[in-house]
This record gives sequence, C-alpha cells and structure tokens, in this order.
Amino acid sequence: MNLLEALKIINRSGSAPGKPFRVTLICGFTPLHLETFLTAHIASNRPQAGVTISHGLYGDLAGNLERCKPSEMDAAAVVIEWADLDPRLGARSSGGWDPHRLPDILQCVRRQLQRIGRALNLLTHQPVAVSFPTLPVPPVSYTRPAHLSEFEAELHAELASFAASLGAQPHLRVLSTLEVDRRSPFVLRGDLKSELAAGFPYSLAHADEMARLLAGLLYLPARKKGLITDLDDTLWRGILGEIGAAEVSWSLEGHAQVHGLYQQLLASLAASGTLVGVASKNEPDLVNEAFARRDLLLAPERVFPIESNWGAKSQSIARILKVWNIGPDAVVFVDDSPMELAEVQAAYPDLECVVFPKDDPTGVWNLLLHLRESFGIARLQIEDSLRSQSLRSQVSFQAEIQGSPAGLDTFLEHADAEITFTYSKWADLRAFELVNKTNQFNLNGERLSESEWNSLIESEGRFVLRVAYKDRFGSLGTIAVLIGTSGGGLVTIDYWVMSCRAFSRRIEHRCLAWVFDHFGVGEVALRFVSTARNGPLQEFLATLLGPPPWESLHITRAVFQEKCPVLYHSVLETA
Amino acid sequence: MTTLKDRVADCFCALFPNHSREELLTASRESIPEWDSLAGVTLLTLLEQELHINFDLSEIEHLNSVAAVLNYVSTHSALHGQRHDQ
Repeated sequence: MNLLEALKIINRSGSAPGKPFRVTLICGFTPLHLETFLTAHIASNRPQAGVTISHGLYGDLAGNLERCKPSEMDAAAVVIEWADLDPRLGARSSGGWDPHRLPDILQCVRRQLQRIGRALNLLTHQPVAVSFPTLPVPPVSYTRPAHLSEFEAELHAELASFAASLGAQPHLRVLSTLEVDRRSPFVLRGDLKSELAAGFPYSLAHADEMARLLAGLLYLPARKKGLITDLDDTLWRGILGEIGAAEVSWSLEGHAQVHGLYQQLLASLAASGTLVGVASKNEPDLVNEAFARRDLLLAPERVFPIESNWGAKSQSIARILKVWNIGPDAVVFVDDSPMELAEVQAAYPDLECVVFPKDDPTGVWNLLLHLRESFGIARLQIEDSLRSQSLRSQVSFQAEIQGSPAGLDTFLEHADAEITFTYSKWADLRAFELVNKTNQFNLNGERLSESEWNSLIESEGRFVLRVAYKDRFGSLGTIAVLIGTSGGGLVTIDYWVMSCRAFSRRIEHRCLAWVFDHFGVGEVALRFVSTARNGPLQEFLATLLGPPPWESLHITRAVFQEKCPVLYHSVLETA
Repeated sequence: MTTLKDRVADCFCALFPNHSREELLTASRESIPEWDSLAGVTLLTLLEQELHINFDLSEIEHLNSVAAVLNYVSTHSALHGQRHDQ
C-alpha cells in the first residue's frame, strides 16, 4: 500500500455507517505515516465501519501509555523503539555513548520496561498489540559492528524476557519480531532523514508493513475451520495404488521431507482445533493400510472423515462439509493436481483451493506459512483438542439415534449425559469465541468486539452461564453460552449460542430449565432476532411458541413445562 | 493523459478530502486549516512517492500554496529529466 492509496482508503472509510473503531496509537515518535497506514489497514480489515486513531505526546511512550483511557478506545497499538527505552538509543539524542555510560543505559532500559509493563497490565479490557524495537541499535557500544557486545546481548535479553512476560496475558498480542524480519528487510526499515527532520523514524515501506501487521493483531480475520487434504503426492510422496502403502514416503531418506513437514503442520493444526479431513481417489483398504503405518506423523485419530473413493472430489468434499457442518468458505482444500483443484473450485467457488507444490520445497514452506496464517489461534483451549474427537462422537451419536429401534428417548436415557453449568460474572475466551463464531443456534447473530464484550460482561446485574457437555461418546467441552440479566421476576437472555456439535441432545431444553430453576422466575424473555442462518434456533423456539412469527419472545414457566420433553442429563454446577 | 497538475491535485485531494478539487487548486496554507506542519510533511512525502522527486527540506517553508508546490514540482521534475504534460 502506498501513501496515496492509504489516504483514499481512509477517506472512503470516513463515510462508513457503522460505529467507528477507536484505536489509540501509543508511540514515542511522531506517528505521522504509521498512523495513516494503521488507519488504512484497519479500515481495509473492517470496511463496515470507520476508524479513528488517537495518540499522545511526542517522546513519551510510557507516559502516553499511562495516560490513555481504556473507556475511550476499542484497541491500542503500542509501538516501542529503542529511543523509548532510553533516549540515548535514539538518533535525536546527544546524551553520550561513552563506554562508562552503557551500564546506566541498561539500567534505564530495565526501569522503562518495568514502567511500560505496569501500564500494559492495566489495559485489560481491550486488545493491545505491542511491537518491540524494529530499527537498528545505534553504534553505542565500543565493539566493531560484527562483534556482539555484552551491552547489546544484555539489551536483547532484557527485551526477550519482557516479551515473554507479556505473552502470558490474554489481552496483549506481541508482534513477532521474526515475522517483522520476514516481511520488512532490516536495512530498509529506517529513514534517518525523516527522523531528524520530522521525528518519524520509519521508511514508508516499513511503516506500511508495521501497520499491516499491527492491524492484523488488533482485528483478527475470520479463521478458517477445516482443511481437506489429498493423499498421493500431497500427504505423502508416491501413488498408493501403484507402489503400495509400504512404499509411500514422507521422510528425508525417501527424498520426501516436504511431505513430512506438511504432515507435521497438519498434526499441529489438528491438535489446535482445525478439522482435518481427506478427499482422495483411492481404494479405501489401501488408505487404511497407509494410515496404519506407525511412522505416520499425522495421527490417524486426528483425521476425520477420510473420503477415499473413485468419485469426483467435489462429491467427497460435499460429504465432509456435511459431517463437519460448516460452510465451504471456512475450508481450505490442498491437492497437488490443478485439475482436481479446478473441479472442486467450480463446485465450491467460496472454498479456498491451494496447490501442493510437491517439487518446490520453497513453495511448500510458503504453503505451510500460509496455512498457519489461515488457521492460527492466539491461545490453545481444551475444546481445540477435543474438536476432531467430538465430531467422531457426533457421527456415532447420530448413527445410534437413527439405528435405535426404541427411539430417541431410550437412546438419550442411556447416553450417560452430564451437563455442567458454570454460572459466574466473568467469561473466558471460549465463551467470547462461541458468541462470535456460532451461526445456527444463535439467538440474534450479534457479534461483539473485545471491548464491547468486556463492557457487556462487566455491566450491572449481568450473568454468564457456560455449559459443558459429555456423554458416553466423549466430551464436547464448553458448547453453549447464555448471557443475560435477572430482576423483577423476569430473566432476559441477551445472548444464547450453542455449538452445532451439541444438537439433538436436548441441551437447549436443559439450559432453559436451569434458568427457570436457578432464578426462580416465571418467565424468560429472549432478545431474539431472525437471521439468515439461525434456523436451528428458530426451530427450537417453534417447539415452545408455535410457528413464527412470534408476537412475544417471552416463554413462561408453564408453557416450558408443558412443551419440554423428558430430560435425562445429570447436572453439575460450578461457579 | 494525466497531467502533472492533475497528479499534484490528486495528492491534495487525498490529503484534504473536505475541500473540493477546484478549491484546492487555488488554495494556500492560510485557506486550508488542516494544512499544519504535520500535514505539510505528509504532503511532501506523498508528492515524493507519487512523482518520484526529492524535496529539499530547506525549501519546505516556502511551499505555502498549491501554485508554489506545482511550480516547484514542475521545475524539479524537468531538472531530473522527467517529462510531464502540463
């Protein structure tokens, strides 16, 4: 993005109808073009609303951080450069580089980092992106540039330790210096002429890249949910039907290490919540034989479903999407064959089709980075490791329901279902994610920014109910969240979402029953809004209120008790 | 064909979106309240990037109107062998 493009984006976003996204840019230098690019990149990421950026005083990053008001911002970007840690590390200072001053500079850096850390700890309501110095350290030390000085080593050690301490806090998102290195050539980052003349130390290209990366941390794009992979010459090297399961390879010795790297990435993605499935034109028995190999780097239990047949891949993908119950826009398909990719792309224009460049190691490396970008998560949660397992459970569950001659009630009665209600004033990341990604069983489809979420949770009289489920088929983890208020004999539920993996278990009935019992009210009001995708929620409401349109979204205890089917779950409560 | 005047005007329009193109063509620092020192730096950086010229920082203070900027840009583009249709 160049400066003119950035300004044009900002001018267009100024007329966007939505509530502006308020960002505080905290830095010690004149924000100038970084502010322009940051505004433009955030506006590009969220075109539905404008962006406003505020900043503080020149030369006082820590003070700006201490003075910023959380109530007046939705997010913050803290851009630290060397001069913010000690002015003597900047180009505009004349404080002296005498060797005997170096310990004092280090001491100042430590104190300043502590001060910045304390201020960052107070900004817990908003996402805060933090970047560490990206510019070269001035030649402060007495060693030749190629010789790492004790001073420089200690400086970097202080920063690394500080960065590690920040990484443990959920609201702070530290910009990876490795990613900055990958995106912005080190020698082209600074602009000394601009720094001396205007107090802005970055080249335009570096300002643009920093802004793009910071914007990406502040406003996370929708994460892809599922990856479907081909097998032959993709997950492994070789054609299974030609050389057999024992001969396909993914090892360095077999000159197939790129496939091993790909398997390792898929294993990591699967363990962190990405659904991984297979669409392959192959004999199922041969595929099973290959997946039984003990040296496979992607554990077979992490892959579900495996579609191996001789039909069109688009048909295999249709079946996988049905099992996963997600839309094609949330899925990436990887195959070495451009023809297969084209066939799938024609059937699913919204599905991302990516070629596996089997003969191009650099291309494979870039593919791995791209997949990590598409599927990366900020923090690992227990539900992430359960996802694949719970999908299998869901399929077994549905199969047993359909095959149960005695009907659903008999089946549910023997499912050993256990629901845990956690009732509290606070909510974890999983609850926030569920509200923001659930479509089908969603009371009104509203999405919330992190600052809106935190304000909501902290508002007077608010309760949060998190619902976890397990049965003899396995645990689903936290699968539902209700947020509401109670008072005057009435409970109002403002947000109610439930994962589609939890359908058909009468969990929604149990949730309402719990609300009636816990609050002892005679009526529950629902802040319902019909959306294009919340059909399952509407079907549930129709079982209680009759077919829509509904005049009132109030459910009385009497109506609920009359319409509620028998519930077999055992119930636990935690606070 | 895009003239040098058009390209300079594009930069002013992007930087000062609350003013019309016609207004900007005859504008000066006094007539545009948003044209402060930081906007001046952004303007010159924008012109440098768009027109591939370098400004002499000592002359910035004299570039107080669109006409002065256009004159400077025309002269320095010609000095650097760049051809622009006026």
